[in-house]
Parts: sequence; structure tokens; C-alpha cells
Amino acid sequence: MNNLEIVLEKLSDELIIKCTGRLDANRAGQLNDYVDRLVREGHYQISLDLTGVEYLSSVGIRTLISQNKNLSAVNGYFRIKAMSENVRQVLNMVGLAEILGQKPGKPKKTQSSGEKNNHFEAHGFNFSLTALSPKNQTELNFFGDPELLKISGYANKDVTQIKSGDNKFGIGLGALGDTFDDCKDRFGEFIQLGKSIAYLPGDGSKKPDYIVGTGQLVASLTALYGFNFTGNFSYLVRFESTDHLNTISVSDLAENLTKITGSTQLAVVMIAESAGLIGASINASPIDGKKIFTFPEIKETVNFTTEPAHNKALTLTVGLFSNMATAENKKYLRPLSPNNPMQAHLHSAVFSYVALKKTDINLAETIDYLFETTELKDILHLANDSREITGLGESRFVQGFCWIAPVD
Amino acid sequence: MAEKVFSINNQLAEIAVIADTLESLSDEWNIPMNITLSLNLVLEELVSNTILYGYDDTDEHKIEIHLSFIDEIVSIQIEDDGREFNPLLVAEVDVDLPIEERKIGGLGIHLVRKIMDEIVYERIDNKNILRLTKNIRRIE
Repeated sequence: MNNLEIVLEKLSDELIIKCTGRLDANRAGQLNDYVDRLVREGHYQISLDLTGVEYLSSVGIRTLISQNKNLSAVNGYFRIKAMSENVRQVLNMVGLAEILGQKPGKPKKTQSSGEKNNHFEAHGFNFSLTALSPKNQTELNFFGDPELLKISGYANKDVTQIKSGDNKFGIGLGALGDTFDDCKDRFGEFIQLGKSIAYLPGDGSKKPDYIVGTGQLVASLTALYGFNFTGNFSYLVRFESTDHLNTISVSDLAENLTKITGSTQLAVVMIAESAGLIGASINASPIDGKKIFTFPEIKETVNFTTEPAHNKALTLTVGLFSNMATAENKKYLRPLSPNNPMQAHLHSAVFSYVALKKTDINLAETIDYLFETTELKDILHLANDSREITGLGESRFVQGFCWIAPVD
Repeated sequence: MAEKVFSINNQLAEIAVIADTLESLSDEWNIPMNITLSLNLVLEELVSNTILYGYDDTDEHKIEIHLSFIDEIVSIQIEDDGREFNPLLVAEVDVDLPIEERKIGGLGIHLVRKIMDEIVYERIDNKNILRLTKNIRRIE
């Protein structure tokens, strides 16, 4: 037989993949794609029945190893529960027959006793709230003048220096570098994620750039305007579609987050799998009165998503949701959707897809992992395209985690 | 003396030809099934490696395979015009490492070394020539 057949069986939480045929260089990709799809659908416990596999090559072994590693990294497993003599013979030769056959112990529960868990369902999604330290206070700082963007009026006197540091998060317009002069041709959307800062240079390159601060190296950004906050999060909210098919809009997400936390203004860091992002970024640096938001210049100077972008990518989003307009915050916020009292400002860093842990996720570790192991593809200011008929609507998500700091 | 020469193109789909050819030869030469599978593994590892990593262009290339069976010894010769590559210089993989520390490369060559008795590499006229032998009656 020159083919590979894959049949799926479901046993409560565990999936069993039965393969028949050949797992060689030509067909291992088929199994790999199949497993990737299952993982995206949220299945992290997968066993393989290879009794029908007559032939296993090193490319097939590589697929087995890499999926085993991927799923172990997210507290799941990928193991061979049964295999043919041929498969065993080959795996024995590379010393893997036993290792790949092992079923891991039960995932450990590390939830500490002080944490409280709440679950509820809304908009076709399950939300689960973990109270981290509800009494934590988070300070939110606004800096720079967003109004100057309209006239590209920024100059040396308007800038604020931002440094990377553990637990610091923020967004705005800026560029990696120490001085206005050094950065003046590159200002664009930035996102500050703890010890890493990423931005999309407004120099026409459309290629995001970033620095991961390590030890002595601190990432330094010259900002035109924006806001930042310390990550003293009070809550962690996990959201997941009830049937793997639903997606949730930013507005619905915001509504539920304010509801569960009972707060009117939330600073949020979110790690989520996207179901299509709608947004914009500037493609020209807003200085010297440069025409950016005028027609026809805008066609070149602003990138708009012309259709929902980055479907199924992994996104890191930082921002602010507010039901409470104040003299201070209103310049920095926009309505989430027409007729919605909720205002927001969110930037998303877009990475290639990797599976996420379902429990015990650590924000700083996940951020590091994304910058180290996957590709940063884009940075986007999330916007709502509310044009009638042709409007694309809002960014949507499949599942994710939100770390929330109320700032009332 | 039994001998067979055939060639395939540098397409992964072509490796099925190897399995088919070996299968009919093993009937003809009366080679045990488990040995045929091992030889197939060796050929596929080496040939798929050449197809995947051996060429700097996207042109069509021929990979020539000689098989012979004399005095209980199977000899394989693989000839390709790809980039110079001596698989004997690939570092031995450590099969005792736990899976987290396992490197993903080098397994194919490791399997080839495990299965075959003798491997000789030569670069002649811009071609990679690899000769491998295995005594199929030798008791392991």
C-alpha cells in the first residue's frame, strides 16, 4: 500500500488516531497537518494506533517527536498506544519505542488555595474567572497628545521615553530608539509587553521590529503618545467557544469582561487565537505636518485591513476598555462600535500560530516563548469598520486568556 | 548474479517506485521480508534526503540506483548530481537522550548506519556516489 489512511476515534477526553499504510517522507506531512488541526480544535490528549503502519521512515519519526514535544509543552500528550512489529523495530533502532509509548502522569494541579474560580456562559462562549489578587491597584499613565496625530504635529518636545521592564504593559505611537531625531522617520504603532517592546516602523517597510530585553539590555522606545500600566492583575479570564465553531467580537468580549469583574475601566493584556482581525496601522511617520489622513495620501500612508486578517494567528493584545469617559482618558479612546458606550484602545501583536496551554498559563513565560519560537508578523491598531454594507465589522477571536487590572 | 539498475526523478512522490521495485526484487531474489523493509528504509532515507536538501535549483534531476545480490550480500549504489554531501560526516545521534533534548535531524543517517554493514562515500565528476552493503545471512 502506498497511502496513509487516518481514522479518528474519540474516547471521552482522549482522541485516538488510527493510521494505516506508510508514514514516510511523502506522507508524514499528512499526519502532521491532521494533528495540527486537532490541536487547534482544542484536543491536547492524543494517542496513536500504529498497528496498521507497515513502514515508518525518519521523516515520520520526526513528526512523532515534534508533536510529542508540542503537546507536552501544553500539558497534553501525544503517544503511541499500539504499534506494528515494523514500527517497533525502527523505533527501537533510534531508542524511541519506549519513550514515544509512554503516557504521561496526570497533569498536575497547581492552583493555590487562595484562588477562586467562577464559570459562566455567554455569546456561545465559556468564561472562567480566576481571582488573582482582587485588591491589587494598578496605576495607569497617559502620555503625549493623541490630537497631534491628525496634523502630524509631533516634535522633539512631545516625546516620552519608555523602557522595557518586567510587568510593564502599554501601547501608543513610537519607535525603538533613544531620541526624537533618531526615530523621526520611523514612528508607528507600538506595544510594550514586559521586557519586550515591539513596533511597526512607519517607514513604509510594513515589517515589525522588536527588542527582547535581557539582563543588561533594556529595550528603549521614544513615544509620541500612548498609555501604560503595571501588570498588577486582579483577574485572569479564560474564554473558549462552547463548540469550537463560535467566534467572539471585541465588543462582546469587553461586555463580558466588565460584567464578570464588575469594573467600569479595565487595563487588559490578552493572549488569544484570532478569527480575523480588523484594524489599521500608519505607514508614514506623523511629523513635519506630513499629510497622512487626507485623500488621496491615505491610500499610501495608512494600512487598513481590507478583509479580516491573520485568521488563526496567535495574538498578544494590550489595551484599555472603559465605560467611564473622563477628561483625561477620552482623547486616548474610541467607541468600540457605533451606539456602544464602551470605549477602547487596543493594539495587537500578531504571531504565527502555536498551541496554548489550557491551564497554568504564565503571561511572562508565554510572551517570551512567542518572541523566541515564533515569528512576529504584524502589529495592528484594532478598529471597527462600521461602514454599512461594505464594513468589515470587528476583530474576532476563537479562544484566549485575558489578564485584567481594573482601574476605576 | 542478480542485478538491477533504475533511476527516479527528484520528486518525493517518486520514492514509491523504490518500494515497488524492491518488493518485486525480493520475491525474485528470495530476500526475507524484514530485510526488504530495512533496505527500503535505507534507500528512502538517503534518496528523500537528496530530494529534499540536495539541490540548489528547481530543475529536474535523475537519481540512479544500482542494486545487486551476490553471495548473500546486497549491495546498493546511489548516484546523484546534487550538492556535495557525505552522510558519513553527519554526527552520530545520541539515542539515550530524553525526548526533550532530542535533535530532530540525523535520525535517517543513524538508521542507515544501524542497518547496513559497510558504507563508502565518494565524490566523482561532481556526483555523490554512495555504496552500501549488507550481508543478509549474518546473524545479528
